[in-house]
Amino acid sequence: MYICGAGRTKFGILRKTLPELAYEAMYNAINDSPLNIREIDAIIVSNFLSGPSQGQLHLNSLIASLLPGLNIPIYRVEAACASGGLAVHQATLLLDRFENILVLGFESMNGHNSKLSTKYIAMAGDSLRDQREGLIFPAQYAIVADCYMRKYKTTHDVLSLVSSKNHYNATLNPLAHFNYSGKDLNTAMKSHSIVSTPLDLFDCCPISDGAAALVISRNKKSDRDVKILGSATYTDAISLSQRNEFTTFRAARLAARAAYEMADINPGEIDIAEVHDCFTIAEIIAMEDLGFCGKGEGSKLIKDEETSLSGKLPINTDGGLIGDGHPVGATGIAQIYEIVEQLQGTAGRRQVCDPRIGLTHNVGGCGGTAVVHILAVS
Amino acid sequence: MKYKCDSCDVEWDYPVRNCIFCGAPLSKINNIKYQVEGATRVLIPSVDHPITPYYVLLLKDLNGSHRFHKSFRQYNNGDTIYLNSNEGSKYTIGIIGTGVTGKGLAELAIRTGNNIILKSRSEDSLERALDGISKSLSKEMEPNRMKIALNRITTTTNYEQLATSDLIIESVVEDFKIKKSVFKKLDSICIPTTILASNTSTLPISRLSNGLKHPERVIGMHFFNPIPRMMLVELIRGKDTGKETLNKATEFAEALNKIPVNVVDIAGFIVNRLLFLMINEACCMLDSGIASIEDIDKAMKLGANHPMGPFELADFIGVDICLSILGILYSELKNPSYKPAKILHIMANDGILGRKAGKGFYNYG
Repeated sequence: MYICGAGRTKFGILRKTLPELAYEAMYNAINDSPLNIREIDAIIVSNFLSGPSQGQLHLNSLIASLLPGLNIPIYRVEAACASGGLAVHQATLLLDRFENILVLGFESMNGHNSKLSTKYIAMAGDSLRDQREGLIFPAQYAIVADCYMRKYKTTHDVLSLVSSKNHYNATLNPLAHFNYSGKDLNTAMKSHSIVSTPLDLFDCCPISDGAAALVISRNKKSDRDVKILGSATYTDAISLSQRNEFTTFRAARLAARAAYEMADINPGEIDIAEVHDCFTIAEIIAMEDLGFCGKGEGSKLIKDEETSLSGKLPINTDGGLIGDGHPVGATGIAQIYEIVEQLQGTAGRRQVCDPRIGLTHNVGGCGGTAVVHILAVS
Repeated sequence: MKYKCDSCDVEWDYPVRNCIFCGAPLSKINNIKYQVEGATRVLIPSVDHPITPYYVLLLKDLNGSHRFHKSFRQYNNGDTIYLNSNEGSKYTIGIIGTGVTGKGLAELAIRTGNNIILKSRSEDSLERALDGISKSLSKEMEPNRMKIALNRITTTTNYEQLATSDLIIESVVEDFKIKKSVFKKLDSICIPTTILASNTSTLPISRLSNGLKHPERVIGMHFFNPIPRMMLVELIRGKDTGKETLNKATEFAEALNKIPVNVVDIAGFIVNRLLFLMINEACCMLDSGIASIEDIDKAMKLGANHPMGPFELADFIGVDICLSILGILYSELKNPSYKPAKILHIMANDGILGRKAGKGFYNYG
């Protein structure tokens, strides 16, 4: 299994329609690959909220409208914030049947009253157990942070370090949602605008528009192809309250273990990773769930700057969800786009030194779905 | 409520009948005692939760299962909290009086899943109240759900039926003697844990509870009309009101989806003290020709973001009610700003009483 093309749009507040976003990402991915769009046998579309927020469903047919006369099979995948990762995983399963699959993720989330957006995003949680009790999405991770900080006696400072690292990386990514120069960021972060205790605004990823696409093939097309070594997904109960662990996600641990087994490598062999930092606390928990460190040791990796661009294991080099943005349906695909760029050595000013194996970790809801991919230079 | 398969040791949070692993029927587990294990204070409003800040608590029951719970009160980690999770019936609430407020309270209480006992002096007024409630519910509830909701109302003309309620709210006529006799009766028949609340807007709670066997369980719970729409309830503690009573009243307010504020036992509490000052001042401005009715209303709506201007509000409340409340506030607070404006006396005398009379500061055709 190989990735022979990758493309994306800028992330941010874009004022573009769903078809515009989708088309731009598909176009860039096909142009990046040696293939013509006519050689694509099937498409998998990833999106979270176009139904409630745009009044647009039947997305597979919407994409067919952008490819007149092609009439190929198109499938839609939705798993909240893990929609993108799950779409790529689905593609790997469908490669028995199709030679070339295009995976496309897109989301348009801006242009609404923020109270409505907050309600829509909360749909990733259980409607009765979570939403009715006022557990908006940031509040889910706020509960996780509250439990984590109490259990491991950490303070909010380490969360801020995650945020400033990712925002710094985003300044080197011309397609990122945010671009803070160092000074702007420090001033802004001092405002401590609380969203849901203990999380403040800078602990949260933004609400972004954007799209990303990959061309995935059964056979190798060129030497710059990136190989998919491992692809795995696991699930867990939708509400955090239906579980007994609040400082780790079982679905993520299971997906990581399965992906490592499939790739036949161990966590120590990973050179670079994109992890699902929808909130700062989520990045710390991700590092622990992926086995980059032991339980409760995530903050040490952050404090020692081991996950910065020049560290031993750079994490979220594109800025992560916090800095690059989180157009939900596109996010899991954009994570893989970044690893592809890094493995191909085309990541520009944020390029890390000669990575060979990269990992992506995409989480839906508050750990209800997890998808892990392991990629390598071919 | 949880559903458990004893042989597989698996639990469901949903009302499923048989175990999907072994086919065995499930047993029900009903927990009401929880411990706070985590919490967040949410500052971002959303469509379904517009009032912030509020708290979401991560709660753990005695068997180690978890649930979330929204509250407007802060709890500390390890605090114990009781939630009645009996689906469809949270509390038994007695409501005395079938006026606008009594009916509104009854509708609110059944909409929020509580059982109610509605008490009035006559079968006739009870029947009319039930009619009114079903009419109001039928606007947005399908017939089946409405039937279930209406089944939670018991009507009675006997005080004795209220004796084991969790909470009783009286909304009889605003007359000290009548209210006092209601409280004496309730105090003598109710079990000691029943909280007795008055929806009075003007009478001192301490005087209503004075001389009762259990004055500590009396509190003011002042709701606002239209009750299903207005989020606020003022909790008024008299000099004898117990701390436990205040805590319980706060829980009841939340169970009714209302947001409580606390205030001591003083005339007008918070809202009326400010509101009637504004209405009276608006009347004085009108008297002295400073601005027109329409312009004063427009100014307050557009300049202060009030949903209704002072005259629209006075018509809604009733000019006679405004006059009588201002009279009480003036005599209790001794502040001349509350001395009812001349125009209110004139209008009340002439029967120009507002919406209910078809004519007030505005005409209602």
